[in-house]
Amino acid sequence: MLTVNELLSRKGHGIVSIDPGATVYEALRLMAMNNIGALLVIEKEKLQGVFSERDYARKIILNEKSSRDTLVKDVMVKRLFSVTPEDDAEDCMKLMTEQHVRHLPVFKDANLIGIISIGDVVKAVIEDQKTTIDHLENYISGGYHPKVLAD
Amino acid sequence: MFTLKEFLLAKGKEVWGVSPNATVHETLKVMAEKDIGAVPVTEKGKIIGIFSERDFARIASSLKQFDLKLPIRRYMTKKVLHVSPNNSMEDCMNIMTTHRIRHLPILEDDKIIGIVTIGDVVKHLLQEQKFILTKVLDAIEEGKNNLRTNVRFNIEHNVLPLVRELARKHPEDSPPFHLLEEHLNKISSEFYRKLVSADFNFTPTEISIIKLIKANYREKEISEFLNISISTVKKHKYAIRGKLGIRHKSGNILSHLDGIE
Repeated sequence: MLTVNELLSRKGHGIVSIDPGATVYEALRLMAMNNIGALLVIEKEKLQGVFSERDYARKIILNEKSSRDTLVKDVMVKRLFSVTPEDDAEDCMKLMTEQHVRHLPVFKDANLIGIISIGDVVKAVIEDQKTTIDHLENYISGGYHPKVLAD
Repeated sequence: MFTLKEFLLAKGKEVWGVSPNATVHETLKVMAEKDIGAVPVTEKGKIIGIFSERDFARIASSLKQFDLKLPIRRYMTKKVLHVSPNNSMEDCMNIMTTHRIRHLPILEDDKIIGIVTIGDVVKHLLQEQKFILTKVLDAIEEGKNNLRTNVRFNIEHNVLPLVRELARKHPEDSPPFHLLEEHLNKISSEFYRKLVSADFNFTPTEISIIKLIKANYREKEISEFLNISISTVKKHKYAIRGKLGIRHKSGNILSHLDGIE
């Protein structure tokens, strides 16, 4: 099974982050610029929370707030579920399904080294599945030839 | 192949929709209340657009003024990618990853009868992946086992008895016969494989003797078969007992051999 480490090396270790004191509007701009659905909220190199499109859709207008006057720290999700590089795609999928989250920060020891989105996982698992199926088909249809050693 | 028909049956999912005249504010409320990330915009039962949390976030970041009282038809995505009940979950996955979308309406005769989300895809992957792989691996393993059993059965019940009979009839040619028997044993016998691979460190002669003991040969027959003296057979048996760790225990070699099979 694919590890988080492999997932990260396919998609890149890049992290797009924002300060908890930034406004929601600034966060939305940053998300649009990077075409991503969530930002890691980091202060003094420490992960404070995650801010996602969902937080914006649910916690601003419906609570009669405005994106320009509301700070990220007031609407971000603080309770975080994270994974390690040794976890695998299945662990990620389970966490995402059980906790209803679409993004998982990746920690190696105490260091934040990346973020995995639900789209990253699905994409990688499909690619991986195709490779596995190709191998198996090859194997079953006889493309696999054990080496025979002549005396 | 798992199609969306089964998915629809299993999920028995209600589909939410908003009218194109609903305001942005009303639309957001529906999405929050129903806990969904995107909502189809429908008119007379037909889907004419879709509006997602992403659409909202992107619009809000690009427009200076964003009037929440305006109807959703102004902001919805009009080109809606969709699937039919005959499509598979795999089709959905491919569309979602290619187009970077997380919601796919399922249409039948232009009518929306369900929606597949990326969360559904993940759930499906979790269930299906294991299921398929296990099935394939089981099938391979079963095929291998059948083949192995057939080969073993034929060698042990048809070929080896013939070889032994020939060996007995032609004692002058016994070395090649023994070699032949050894090779056949290697191919056919799991027990033999364990004997040679285990930590017993048996010599080839000891292994031949063990095989003969297992085939119920007496010491005299073993000595004739292998063309060695009875005292040598006894010596080998003593060594075998030592390697099996039963030199000081009662019981015959055979019963201890059964334990390693």
